[in-house]
Parts: sequence; structure tokens; C-alpha cells
Amino acid sequence: MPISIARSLPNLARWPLPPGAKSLAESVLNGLAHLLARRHSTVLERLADFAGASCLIVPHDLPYPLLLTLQAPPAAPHLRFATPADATQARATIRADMLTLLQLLEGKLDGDALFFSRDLVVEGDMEVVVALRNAVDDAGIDLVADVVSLLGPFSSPAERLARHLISLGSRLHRSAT
Amino acid sequence: MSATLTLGPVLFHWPAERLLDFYARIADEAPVDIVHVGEIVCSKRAPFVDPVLPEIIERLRRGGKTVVLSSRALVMTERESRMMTEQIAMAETPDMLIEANDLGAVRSLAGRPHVIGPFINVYNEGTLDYLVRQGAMRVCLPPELPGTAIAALAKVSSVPLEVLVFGRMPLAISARCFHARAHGLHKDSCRYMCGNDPDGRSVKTLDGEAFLAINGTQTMSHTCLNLSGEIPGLMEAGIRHFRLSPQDTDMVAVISLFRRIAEQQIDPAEASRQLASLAKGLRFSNGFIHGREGRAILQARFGHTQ
Amino acid sequence: MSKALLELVCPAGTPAALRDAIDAGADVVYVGFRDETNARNFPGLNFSRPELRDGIGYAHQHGREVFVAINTYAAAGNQAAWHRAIDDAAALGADAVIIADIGLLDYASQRHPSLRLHLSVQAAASHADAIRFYHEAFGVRRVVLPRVLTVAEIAKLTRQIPVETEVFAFGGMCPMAEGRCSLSSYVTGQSPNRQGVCSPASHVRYEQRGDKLVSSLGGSTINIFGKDEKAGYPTLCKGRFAVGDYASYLFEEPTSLSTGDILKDLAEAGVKALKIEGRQRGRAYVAEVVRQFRELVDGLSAGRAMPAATAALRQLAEGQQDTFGAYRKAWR
Repeated sequence: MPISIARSLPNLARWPLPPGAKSLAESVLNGLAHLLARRHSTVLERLADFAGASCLIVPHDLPYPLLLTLQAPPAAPHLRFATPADATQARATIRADMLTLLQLLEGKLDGDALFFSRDLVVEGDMEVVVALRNAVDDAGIDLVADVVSLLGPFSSPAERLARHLISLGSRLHRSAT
Repeated sequence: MSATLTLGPVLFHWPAERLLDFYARIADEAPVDIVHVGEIVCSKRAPFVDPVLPEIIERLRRGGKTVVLSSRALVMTERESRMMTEQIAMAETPDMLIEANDLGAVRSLAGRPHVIGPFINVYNEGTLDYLVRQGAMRVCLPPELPGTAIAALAKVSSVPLEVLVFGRMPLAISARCFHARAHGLHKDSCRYMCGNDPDGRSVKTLDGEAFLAINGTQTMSHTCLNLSGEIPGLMEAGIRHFRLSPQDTDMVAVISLFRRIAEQQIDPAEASRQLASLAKGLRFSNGFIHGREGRAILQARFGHTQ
Repeated sequence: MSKALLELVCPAGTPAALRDAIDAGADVVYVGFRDETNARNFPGLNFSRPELRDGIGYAHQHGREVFVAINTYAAAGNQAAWHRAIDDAAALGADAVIIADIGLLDYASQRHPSLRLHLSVQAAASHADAIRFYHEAFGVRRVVLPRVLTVAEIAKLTRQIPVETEVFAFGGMCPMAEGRCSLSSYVTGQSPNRQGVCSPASHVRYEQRGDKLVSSLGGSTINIFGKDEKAGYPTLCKGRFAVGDYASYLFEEPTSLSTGDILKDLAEAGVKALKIEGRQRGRAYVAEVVRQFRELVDGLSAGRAMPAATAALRQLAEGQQDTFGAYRKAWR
């Protein structure tokens, strides 16, 4: 199994992120993970048995695979860019295009159906994958609403703008693929 | 207290002639106390078995065996339900005990002595207690039960509990016939394909691993259950009844070996060597009693007796 | 909704799915506690006690019901965990509990005489005498029929028994008599009856072998999929196996049961309720299937022409294929 995961990571070498940009992106991701964990605390409770387990998340249309490591509640899961060395310690790999992964996070798509049609590829320890799916599915995550909640009084106009941009983005994405 | 050995019903579709020969030899030569008879897997096989049953029962009784009639494991149609009721009517015959393998049979037998078969889900004290109140006088536990559960039940049971110790384990039953399906046929037009495989038909994975066995509508273990090494531990836990399931081998020799194991007349390692040569190449397993996957084979240790 | 010919009983693995199912038109939602007392004991799934209290509150506010499945077999030496589940379901106001185990039915009928008892499909009560047994002994008021009967057999059965019948309308198919299958525990040590899992995720692996996808359970190959072939979860009885030289889906194809086209037959057979399988499936699935079935059942009740079973339902089916299963005799 580790061999096939490693094969999915060659993009890393071709698209090295400058160190500054990398750590900035990682703090943004972890900020997001913290925010989601705070707003949807039942996710952590549902994943309590899997503290310490890590999972590679590979958006196959982007060059940057991520490593998600679950923590004991109340700590939020930890996210960082994956390195080829992670292939050996990750318990599972989840692969799909970025838009699909985001919609799964929001419970808008049926993970099983995507898997049957091979639009979602999973490898490794299915227990952690299934737990992650079930926990996230219950949370009712809405990325736009969750993020703009940080903006307080400016949240409504920001939400309208964000949703407009996302809908435009996904139309462009669909017509391009 | 000494052990009681029971021979379970023949689960495979053996021709009537063969059944008559088999039971004649069991009657005369096998050191077994109780013999269960009857076609429990498929109602389509019953017309071949039922006509010779009276002769088989008579023959076994002449050999000094206690005979028990086992009821069908899966009853679906009205016809099957009627067949079961007729079978139970035979219990009016003196000394003819019935083994219930379905809750419909339990209902018909309530209030008179009967046996509970391994196809009824007895997993806990509450269920055992209820069935004993209804008239169960012996309960054969499902093969899936771990040793810890067997011991917990034995501690509270007021009737003998029986444990399956030899033979391919029944794992599932279906309305569908897999023997027919493996030959591109339906159950209604099955051509009795199951009759070609007196020990069940081997099922392999796509990578060639021996995996399961099919026997008509029944799915069985590929491995042959062998709890010969567990018998001392089971006896220590209070189990005195052991059931062997007929396979296509010298069952008289198998039964004799288990008799000697139960009476501590043979070293378990030597017994296992002799059993292996009788199992005709089938791999042994004992995982369930250890609370593990049923197909596993572990060093005998349940009840830590060696 | 209450005048509909068939009651719609829908699955929820999480509180969010429960609310979605109610919003999509479920008459009843069935759920389980987050432990081995229910037959969908999957990682990250199911309800805590407070979640069940809130879920029942939400359903009752909308005039709907919640059934609690306590449908595994209690473990010898540890029956208390199952007894507690029954006591808590009763205390939290569950509209019925769904039980398979005789010992638990006995307990529930004695301790909670006013609690409505349904017989789980895990009891595999497939004929009139078996069903009468559960009714007479424990006052069971509804039986969930095993997925082994044809529509004609169901019609005969409903006339012979003194209890309501609920049948599976959509979702996963068990080719074996439920509650009498130890295939999963034979291969993994964990069973539907004892641990509430079948072919558990902890024992599943997917592996790329060249351009093929290999799925395995407990280290044994369950299926090998070609590059563009629809994949399936390695549920043991839905795998491809070889008998002699002939490899096939020996037990069952990776399909979903779908009764969209035969609801009228089921209603005429005297069936009281339709059950949708899939507490382990996501909210998106639950909402979509419930919405489609609500439309079908309402159409049927109003005497409108039945809309054809939709492509949307098929997209959600396992392997994206569907079947009438045992409801047609040719399945056997």
C-alpha cells in the first residue's frame, strides 16, 4: 500500500512551495480546522477513538496533498502539506478532485455513490475513513457560513459575495473538466 | 460425570441408499449416544429423505441410540410450514424428540420437552431462560459463540448445553440456492446439483484461496471445525454434550476418537494427528471459541487446560 | 401524509440525517445508540442519549415518530448494556423499539408493558407460525419481514398474522436469512448478531494492483475491479468468488433493492410500512431517497399514475444497479 500512495505524490517535487508561502498556507488551514472544530464540536466526539490517526487527502487536480492528523478532543485535527515520507505513516488515503472533497466536507454529496462510480478513491484503513465520513456528515459544515462567521457585522454581505464567487468558480471548474 | 456425544443431522444431499448404509453403521459401531436425523437444509431434498426416515429411526433405535428429529432451518412457504407441523405431530410418538431450528417450531413444541438446535439464536441468559421455561431440555449453542459466553451460559443453565465440536460449520442459510446459481440455474430447476458434492462444494477467492463451501441454500465454513483440544476446557466449564456433524469420511472413526478424547484415553496431540488423516485434506479451525474469526486455528487453550 | 397508503420508515445514522429525513417527508425515522446494541455499529455513527432526546423532540414537533433499533443479540455475561438501551429508549419517548433477541423481547415486554415492540429483520421471522410466536409470547405489534419472500408470499402472510408488516423498499440487500449469518465473523471475528457489524471497515483494504482495484476483507480477496468498472464495498456476500473454474457473484451482485415500481403490489399485499435501508449512508443519500419515495407513496395514495422509478434513485444504488430482489421468485 505505501508504494501506491508514494506514487500519488510526485507532484510535490515538481511544485515546491516557497517556505514562507507554505507555512502561511498551513496556518490558514489549521485556523480553518480550529474554527470548524469549535463550531462543530460533535465531530471531535465522533472521532475520539481515532486520536493520533493520520490520513492523506489528495486533491488530484491540485499539486498539494495534505496530511490530516486527528487529535484527542477537544483539540482540533492538525493539517499540513504532506511529504513523501508521510506515505508510510498515514493510515489511509482519500483521493478526489478538490471540488468533490469540499462538497463531501459539507455533506452535499453521497460518499458511497461517489465511491461506487470511482470518483472517490480510498486506500488503506477503511475504519478511519468511514469514521471521518460519518463525523463530517453529521456536522452540517457550511464553509462559507463558518468562515464569514468570523467577520461579525460584515458577515452577511461577505457571505453573499463568497457564495457568488463559489458558484462562478464551480461553473468554471465544471466547464473546464 | 461422563460426556454425551451427539451426531448432528446429515447436512449434505446424500442419496437415500447412502443414508441407510451410513446410519446402519452408526447404529452398530459408533460410540455415540444421540443421533439427530432429518433433512434440515432444503425442502426440495425432503422427498428423497423422508421415505427412508422411519427405517433409519428404527435401525438406530435397535442399535441403542436415542433418536431426535431435527426441524428445517429456514421455513418460508406455506408448504414448508405445513411440513414442519406434520413433522412435529410425530412427536406424539413415544420417545420421539424434536429439535427446533426455527421459532415456529418452538411455538408448536411449547409445553412439551424438545431440543433447541444451533440455528436458533441463543446468545444470552435471558433467551436461554425463556426457552427452558417453554420446555427446552437440551440446547445446542450456535457455532459463533465464544468460549466466554459458553461458560457464562453453562454457569446458569438448568438444562444440558451442547457444543458443536467437529465438521464444517453452518454459517448462513438463504432462500436462494447457491449450488444452482453456481451452475447458472434457479432453485426451482436446480437439477439437484448439490447431490454431486457429498462434503459441500469448495468456494475460492479470485486469488485462489480456499474460502467457504456451499451446500445448496446453505453456506458453510471451508475449514472443518475441530475442538478436540478444547474438550477438557469445555468440560471444566460444565459442558457435557458434544455434537459432531457428519462429513464424507469415516464418521465411526471420528466419533470413536472423540469418545476417547472425552474419556481422556488419548493424548490430544495424537488425537489431532489421527483426525487430520480423517479430515481428507480439510484444514481445521477453532477460532470462534477463542472469540476470534471462526476460520482461525489457535493453540488449544480455552479454559487453560492442557 | 397520515392518509398515505404506506408508512415511510427512514434511516438516520446521525442527528443531521434525522432532521433531513423528517424534512424530506419521512413518517418515521429509525436510529440506534452509539454502541454494539444496534446492527449498524459503525465508527463515528449513531446517537448519544442527548442526541436521541433532541431527535425525538424534533420528530414529535413535526408530528412524526422515532423507532430505536436495539437489534443485536445481547452478550452472555453483559446483558445489562442492552437492558439499559431498552430502558433509555423507553424513558426518552421512543415510539417503538426494534428487537430481534428473545431474551430482550422478554425483558422489554415485562419491564415496559406499554412500550411498542417491533420484531427486527434480524430475527428472520419468515412464516406465520414464527411471527405468531413473537406476537403471543411478547406482544410484538409489527414484524419487519426478512428479504427472502416474494410479493405473493407476503400477501398470503399478511392475511394469516395478527400484526403489521414492514418490508424493505430500498437499499442494501442481504441474500442470506438475516440474523442467521456468521460469514462476517468467520472471516473477521465480528458479526452482525454480536457486534452489530458486517464486513467491518477495520478489516477492509483497497489496493491498486496495476490498473485493477483489489478489495479485501480480513486479508482475503473479495473482489477485483477493472479500470472503469463500478466498484463496491467488500461486503462478504457481494464479492466475486470461484466455484470450480467459474468466477461469479456467487451469492449476490453488488446491487440495491429497489421497489419503486412495485409499491402498488406491496400495498395490495397488505404491507403497512416501507423501510429504507441505510443508516450508514450519508445525509445526501437519505434526503434524496426519502424525497423520491415520499413522492412515489403520495402519488400512489392519491391514485396518480406512478412516476417511473427515477434515475436519481439508481445513482444512489450500490454499484448503481438495482433489483426487485426476492420479491420476484426468479431471484432464488
